Amino acid sequence: MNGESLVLSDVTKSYDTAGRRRMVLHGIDLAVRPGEIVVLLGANGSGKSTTLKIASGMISPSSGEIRIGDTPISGLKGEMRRQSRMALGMVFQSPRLVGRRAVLSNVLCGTLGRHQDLASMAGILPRSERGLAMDCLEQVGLADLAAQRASTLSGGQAQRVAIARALAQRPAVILADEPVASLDPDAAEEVMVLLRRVAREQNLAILCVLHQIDLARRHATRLAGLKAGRLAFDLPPADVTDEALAGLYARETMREAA
Amino acid sequence: MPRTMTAAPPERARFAFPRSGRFLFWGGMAVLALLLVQAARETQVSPANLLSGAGRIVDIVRRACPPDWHQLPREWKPARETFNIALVGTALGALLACPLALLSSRTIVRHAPVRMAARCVVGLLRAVPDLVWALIFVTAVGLGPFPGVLSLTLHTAGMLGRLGAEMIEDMDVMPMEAMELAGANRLQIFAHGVVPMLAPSMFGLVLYRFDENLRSSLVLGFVGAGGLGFQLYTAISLFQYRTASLLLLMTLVMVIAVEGLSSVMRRHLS
Ligand SMILES: Nc1ncnc2c1ncn2[C@@H]1O[C@H](COP(=O)(O)OP(=O)(O)O)[C@@H](O)[C@H]1O
Ligand SMILES: [Mg+2]
Repeated sequence: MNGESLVLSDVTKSYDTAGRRRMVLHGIDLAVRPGEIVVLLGANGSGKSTTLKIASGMISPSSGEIRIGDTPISGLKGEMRRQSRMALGMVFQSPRLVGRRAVLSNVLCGTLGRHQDLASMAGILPRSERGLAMDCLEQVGLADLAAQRASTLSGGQAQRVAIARALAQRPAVILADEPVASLDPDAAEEVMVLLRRVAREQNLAILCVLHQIDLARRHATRLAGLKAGRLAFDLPPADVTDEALAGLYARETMREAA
Repeated sequence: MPRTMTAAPPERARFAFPRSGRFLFWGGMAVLALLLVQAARETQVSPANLLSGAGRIVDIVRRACPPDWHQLPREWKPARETFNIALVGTALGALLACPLALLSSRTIVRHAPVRMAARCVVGLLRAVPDLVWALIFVTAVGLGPFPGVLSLTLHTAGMLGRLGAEMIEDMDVMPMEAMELAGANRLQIFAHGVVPMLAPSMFGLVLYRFDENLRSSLVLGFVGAGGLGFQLYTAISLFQYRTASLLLLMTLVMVIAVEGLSSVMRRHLS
């Protein structure tokens, strides 16, 4: 299914809290093409996680459309929804592995959506999937830890296993919400290098939220700046000025001054 | 222009009991102390009675020594029976506890009436002491080990059902959520996530329960549910104190052995 773009067109989202309606996203247009890694930047509360949750189908937009290639993916049910979930790999801030299980078993969890037979529900998956899972571990450089318990991994290793699990889905798109936020600088660098490499080698569209501007500048194909629910810019890193970046985070300083 | 964004860390609020709360606390302690004194009086706790009874206790101990070792071969079978009752009762109870724990946890069952029904069953099984279950089953199926097994099964199912449900609700659901978002269905999430996460700690609880049940199965014998307890009851009724002391020694050895084994195994699990 790879070789497809992730497209958000005119996506809005509002929340009803305590009887009041609040717009969180105002008409987001964003396209991530295969092989690209687009980094979403913005202050806390600017709507980055909401954008990712909508792109993943976890929550529905108030209006607008999300597509992978030509296939709309919001508001799906049942079998169609499972298919679209397979096409989207997710990487979270914490790796979300089953600590008691082996690394390879955790990667195999990424293949579950392809199987609806009773054996898979009893915990057994076909041999071919084990091969695929090993390949995915190979790609993140952790094949030699396949038999080790996931709970024994370092933070950076665990996050790479989580990426391998996402790759085992054979997705078209990977969505990553602050994937390096709890890693040390070296591990963070490794994870970003890895994401960039899989985007290119496997022709995946990756949308990634980061807080580290230097990492974003070095690894992104494009930087998308979100400010108070609106896209402030969507440009290659070289075209994004320091002023534009500072503007993204300026709200706090203004509130301080007031 | 770029500007620094370092904000002062927020002042941390100090927590303290409000004055009225402190007053209530000490008032409650005073009431408790008064209740304790009153309760001791009503239960006839009296050092004088204990001293006058001490002579008789010493007499019983003297008559119980030395244990009647000749009875050892004859008591071997009831000892095994006690062990078997505990083992089978624990195993069946654990089996029954699994569906009960799953059905009564919010994580697995979102439908409230089903959950409530399961919780009521678990509550009932737990609230009735195993001794009472044994009395009921001895009446229903007759004397012997079987009523002992049944009563331990039910009580164990209640205890493990409750602990299991708590364990499920405390479980980290983030890995499960990740599987769901990757397209896994609920049974797959159960097999690949819930079971591996819970099985070891659940097995630890079962081992712990086994060693509790071994002790319980002794007492169950007193109401006719077989095993060493039944022998002990008979020996004491017939004033055969040397047989009784032998039976107590056998019990002690068995309880310590099982306790040791179960704690070693549990340590290995964690
Ligand atoms: N479930 C929700 N209900 C109401 N408001 C929400 C909900 N989720 C997020 N928000 C609001 O939406 C805004 C954007 O949140 P989020 O997307 O998490 O921001 P970011 O990830 O950029 O920090 C915030 O103001 C937040 O309070
Ligand atoms: Mg966020």
